[in-house]
Amino acid sequence: MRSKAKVIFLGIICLLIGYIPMLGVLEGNVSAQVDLGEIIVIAPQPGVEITPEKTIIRMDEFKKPGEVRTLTDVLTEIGGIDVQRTNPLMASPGDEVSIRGLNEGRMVIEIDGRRINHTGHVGRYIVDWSTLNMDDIDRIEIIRGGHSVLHPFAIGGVINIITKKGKKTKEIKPDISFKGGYGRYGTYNGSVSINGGLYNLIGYHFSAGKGETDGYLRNNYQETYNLNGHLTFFLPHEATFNLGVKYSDVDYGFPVINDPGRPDYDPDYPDFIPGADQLRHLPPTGQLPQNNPHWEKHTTYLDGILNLPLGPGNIKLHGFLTEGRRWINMWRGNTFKKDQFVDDRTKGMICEYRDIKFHFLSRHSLTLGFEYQELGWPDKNPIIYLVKSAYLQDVIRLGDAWTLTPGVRYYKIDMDTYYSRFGAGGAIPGKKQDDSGLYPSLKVDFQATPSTALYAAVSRSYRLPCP
Amino acid sequence: MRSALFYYDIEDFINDNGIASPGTGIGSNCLYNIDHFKLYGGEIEAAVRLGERFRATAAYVYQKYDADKSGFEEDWTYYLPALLPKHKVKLLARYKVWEDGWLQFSSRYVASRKTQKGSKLEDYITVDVGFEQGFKFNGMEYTAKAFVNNITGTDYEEIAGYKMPKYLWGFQVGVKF
Repeated sequence: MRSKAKVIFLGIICLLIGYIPMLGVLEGNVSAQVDLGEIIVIAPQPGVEITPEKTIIRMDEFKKPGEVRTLTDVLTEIGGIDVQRTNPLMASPGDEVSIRGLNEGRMVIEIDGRRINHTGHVGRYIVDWSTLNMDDIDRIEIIRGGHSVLHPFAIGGVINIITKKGKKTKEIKPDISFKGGYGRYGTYNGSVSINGGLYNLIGYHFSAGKGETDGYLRNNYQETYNLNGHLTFFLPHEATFNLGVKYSDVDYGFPVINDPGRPDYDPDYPDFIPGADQLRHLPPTGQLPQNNPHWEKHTTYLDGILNLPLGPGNIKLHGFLTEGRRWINMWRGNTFKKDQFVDDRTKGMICEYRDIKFHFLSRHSLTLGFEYQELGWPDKNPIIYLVKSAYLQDVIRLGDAWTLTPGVRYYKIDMDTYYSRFGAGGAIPGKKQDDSGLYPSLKVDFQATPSTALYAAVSRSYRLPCP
Repeated sequence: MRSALFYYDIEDFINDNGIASPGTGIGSNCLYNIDHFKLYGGEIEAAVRLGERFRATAAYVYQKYDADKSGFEEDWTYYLPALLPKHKVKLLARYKVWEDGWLQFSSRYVASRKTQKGSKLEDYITVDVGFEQGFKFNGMEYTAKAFVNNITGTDYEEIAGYKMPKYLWGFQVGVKF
């Protein structure tokens, strides 16, 4: 049954674009998809725009019954995305998000086009969903599948968060908004944002928010503070320079045992017994009620982006840093561990020359770029993964109906990880490896009618071999 | 409407159980390699407008996986895709009751799926309902919103081991100027 399905599917792909053989390296991947039909409905659900390439959620227009405070509040409503929540009152570090069965270890979460994923060391917090507040978000773009070489390590897909960066305006008066809410289980939040510009020279957006919940499960409280700031300098020749910061401080109480068979049972909370499933490496679910097992986490996202029209295209230089610092207080067996500190840092630079259109290649639109990333544990091993990659994509228009998008990405990865002893003891550091390879992609679009588009894509992808 | 079929053929799939191994509690023991892993399925997503008052987004997803045996399986190991439903439907809709007054509706159907310990979670349907009213006064834009999530009181688990809450009510107010 399985092999039959595969043959039929690849047959369809072959008709359109041919088959690229898989050459797996560490975690090689071939994905393919065939669009059966595309009808872009005019004036669909406000705030949700569905296009052949992506689903776009515009935050000022997006509405749902309930709070829209964090990224997972939005993703729960979007087709093709699985969100498994520890606590539906507020996004928590234990939440798991997947596209097509692949979680954030195999998809890319981006802020303004740059990857925010960590290494995942000591807990697989590759992305901590509790830190991604929506106060400064203009829109979210969701690409399903890994066929775009413009996004590194995208196998399941891409979730790109585009921030508000202020306005180019002579109007001195900014837009100001306040929001506040209250709900069951002592859940409340409040936020303020200001969006404006000065003399057509500077745009700005600042926001601050606070949220709190007593939690549904015992001790599963949360207190969150957010600060966001974005400055845009409007330079000559349509160039812009943007500086951005997102900061969150999350105090999160781990759910504790609430077993009717124990003398410390609290009937005001639901039963919670050891052995509940745990999708992330949070402390084990057998946390005792005493001593308030919890963590405090500070996360900072910093970005500097220069956009500069140059010659036949546009230059983009993007420097970035994501830093997480967490202090964990938890039971391990009968011992309570206090203030165990773990930090992680991802930093890098993207240099991209995009949408290059030459007169003598009028059907082509080229994008090429180079990306450098360091992912590490500043306290112990600042560079666990060193990623260098370069990419090239061409969008070729063939008449009014056909578009070809070939692309290729080259990765060079240096790793400084550890040897697992598979139950015989703790991991031993010092395992040094490197890896490299070319990862091609091809997409074919066919505009069958003004309202119907078909596309097929096949790609080979690489996944950073971290948890 | 957007519809797609997808097929992933993955070599050397690093499986992460998301939990430390029982007994030793050693985290590194929860990762192992699967030689060959396949994921496939289809998805349909549509945005609909019926008249001036009703607007909706609906989505259906089917997904399935096949994994080679690795020899590392224990009775506590699992695959993440196994914890996800084969079938899933989401509906997000709003109905304009009167000027700037919108009734909001969200519903999800999640089919049965496995748990880490090998048992099965039942399928479920949840319904969330809200109402939002916007109005302008003195050049300022106000919004007021009230909602109840899981209004049908469905007993369900997103993660195995504990139930999700019922009748999650709340309200929100906002002003822009």
